[in-house]
Amino acid sequence: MDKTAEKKDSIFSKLSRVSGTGALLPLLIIIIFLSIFTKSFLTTSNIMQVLRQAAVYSIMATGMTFVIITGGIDLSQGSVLALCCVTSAFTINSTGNMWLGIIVAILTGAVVGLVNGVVVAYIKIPAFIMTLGSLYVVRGLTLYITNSTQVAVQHDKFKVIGQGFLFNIPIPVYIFLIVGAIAYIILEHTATGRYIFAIGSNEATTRLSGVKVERNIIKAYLFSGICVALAAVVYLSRLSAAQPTAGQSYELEAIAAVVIGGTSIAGGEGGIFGTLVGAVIIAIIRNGLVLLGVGSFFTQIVVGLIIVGAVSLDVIRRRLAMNK
Amino acid sequence: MKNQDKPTPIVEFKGICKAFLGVKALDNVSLKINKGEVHCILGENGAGKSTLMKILTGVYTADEGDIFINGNQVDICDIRQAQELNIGTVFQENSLIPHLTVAENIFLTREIKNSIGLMDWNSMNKECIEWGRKLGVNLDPSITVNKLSVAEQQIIEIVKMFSRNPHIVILDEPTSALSDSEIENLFRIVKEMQKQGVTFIYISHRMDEIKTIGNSATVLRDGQYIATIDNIKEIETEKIISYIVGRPLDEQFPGREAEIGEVIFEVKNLSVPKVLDNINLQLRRGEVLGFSGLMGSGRTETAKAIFGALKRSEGSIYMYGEEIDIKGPHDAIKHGISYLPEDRKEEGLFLEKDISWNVVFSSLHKMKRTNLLDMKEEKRVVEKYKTQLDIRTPSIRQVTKYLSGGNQQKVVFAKWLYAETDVYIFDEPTRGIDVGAKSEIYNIINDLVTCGNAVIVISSELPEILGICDRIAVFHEGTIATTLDRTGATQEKIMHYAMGGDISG
Repeated sequence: MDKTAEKKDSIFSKLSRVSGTGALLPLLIIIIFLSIFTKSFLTTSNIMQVLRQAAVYSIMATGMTFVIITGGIDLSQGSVLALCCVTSAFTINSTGNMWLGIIVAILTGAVVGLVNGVVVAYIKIPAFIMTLGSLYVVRGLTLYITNSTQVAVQHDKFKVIGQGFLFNIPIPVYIFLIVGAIAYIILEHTATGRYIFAIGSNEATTRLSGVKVERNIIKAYLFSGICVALAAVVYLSRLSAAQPTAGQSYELEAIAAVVIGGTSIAGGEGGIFGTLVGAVIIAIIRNGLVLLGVGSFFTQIVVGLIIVGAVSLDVIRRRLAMNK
Repeated sequence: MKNQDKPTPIVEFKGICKAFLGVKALDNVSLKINKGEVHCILGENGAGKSTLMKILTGVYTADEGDIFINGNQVDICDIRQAQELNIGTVFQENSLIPHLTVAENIFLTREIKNSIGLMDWNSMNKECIEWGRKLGVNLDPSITVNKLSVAEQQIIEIVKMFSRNPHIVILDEPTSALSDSEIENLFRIVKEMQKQGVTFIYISHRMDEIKTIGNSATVLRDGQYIATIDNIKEIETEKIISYIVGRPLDEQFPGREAEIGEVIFEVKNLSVPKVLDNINLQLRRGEVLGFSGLMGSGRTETAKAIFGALKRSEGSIYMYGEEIDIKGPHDAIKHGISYLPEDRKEEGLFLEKDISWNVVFSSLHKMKRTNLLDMKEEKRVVEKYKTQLDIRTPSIRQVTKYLSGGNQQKVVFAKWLYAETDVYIFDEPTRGIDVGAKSEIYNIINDLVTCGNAVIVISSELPEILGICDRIAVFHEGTIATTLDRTGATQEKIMHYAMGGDISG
């Protein structure tokens, strides 16, 4: 790599190996655009607002990234978010202990993730079908146990998680960065991470290399469930109430963040860094269009175009790299 | 070429050449096929038979050479053109669409329509039955194909082809999935069609079949024309086999001085329903055991069953005299057995991942520092194997998809060498790689056994098997027909047992 002739190529290939760098360019363009055309975008308070909004989605998207890298998908995330909020709220209200509430949320998410994972791995039904089923079952369960009414939470310390600041930065931002960092380390620096990539890349080779494929598929869904639970804690704390209808279509938002971030929907390729960038892009667009005074329905149009545009760019980039 | 006094051949190949990525699959092949005959094309796996047939049916285009049909030169660029020339094919894997009915399959792309453009099912069903009747088979045109047995599907395939009025029919190993009575039925149909003037090109490995159904034959070897057999019923089987295998042993096999020691690995009564029947084998320290046999004879299946990648119904496996429990590949590796699959791209490599990723993948536990992977150790290990196996690449970060076949195979070898197992199973370790890389791979195998490991090599190439193995287990239809010592083994002997010849012969 020290030869001058190879240098250019190596920087390019090194950059493109850090998955998610493809999404940095659109992010930069959007930031520059909004900085020029709005007065309030590039202010500390607005940036913090954007990041706080990005937190819930990006924590969910982090879990989604694991599942998508294995070649699967988790459509149940939005429903699980609501269920975790509700079980957590019940626990906090009945015990007055916020930590117990957080633990119950995590257990709830983990159980659903485990069930999703076990069925996908062992019965081998498509992840799309399994998690679509969970989407309905979990939502129905949530509506049933709450009798379709909202559960308010009164706990001053618990509020801090979603509403508090530390060194002028919202606490949810710390949470999403910590979850992201842990996920990054698992994916890039542990054997489990490599197995998760491997399953999405070539399941037959993975199995013949001596990896217990089923076990690692389950881990990915379990991780997704736990991430959703953490997102639910932030969400519940911010709103101080658990709505049984919360989180509807949030899984699509998470998928959008993952694919904008350059993770292949076919599995095997991608990474957490891209997903976080993807989640931030979506949050900035929402925020920016409000600042620009554009109607909120426009947000949907733009997010849709970004999804198609970002993935198209990625596909074209890969094709060019292949022809080289 | 002794056919000059005969009428114009229905098919004639003249000087056909075809290369894939610089490797010659067919080299100046010429042959003639007479009308109304069943002409067999004989040769080992990789001799060029299928390539030649694919050129005739327009799947491939020849680099050089001409094809004549009834004396007229033709250009066949795609399958449709082959159909227009009335050339029909029944491939090894059938091409029927499973959830369509028999009639829908037979009339696919030529559906009979009524006056307002809708499907005319009545006419199609009637015609179907009529075509079946001509070949002496009873068809139910409205049953979906996936409800039929493999043999029945093959019959449908033949009826489908017959309904297109072919003059020339290619049968590529048509009996590989059939039972004896089904084969009989197939032959009856072939003879029926032959009476009606159809010419057959018949590809098969089974000597007895060739003798039963064939009239004449052409032998190919390593992409070259070897011989024409005018009357296959009169020639001795041994003679045919010598034509098929004929080449001298290459000198490309490096010698070794491995000391053969005690039995370290043993398989007893290994069975997989419908695939393997009571396989027994022993492997000694320092020994290379060859698995020979035709495709589908159970060589790969035995390896996969040992490795835990194929579920066995019976059988026990012993390592150093102790029975080991193998439920999956992870157990096999844990107990010191590795398996290099025959399909490098689908089962051996992560093509989208780089060399380094692939090499360490099976042994990540070895490069853990606490719970995290030690990237420096990874780099050190991979660089070591890159040098040791001479993997030619600018960087260990090169994505394996872009490597040559030989370098790809070395990456898979490195993966298993790093796993440091005691028993290595290599399935077609030199398939699709050039001669230079081949002998490097033979050297790796030699090094392994010299260090006291034991190796099983599965190969379709007889010279390779004879060149590198100490003993050779010859597979036939899911059993080990015999085990030959290197000293007593010849290509002819191996072929004899592989084709189901009896033990006394």
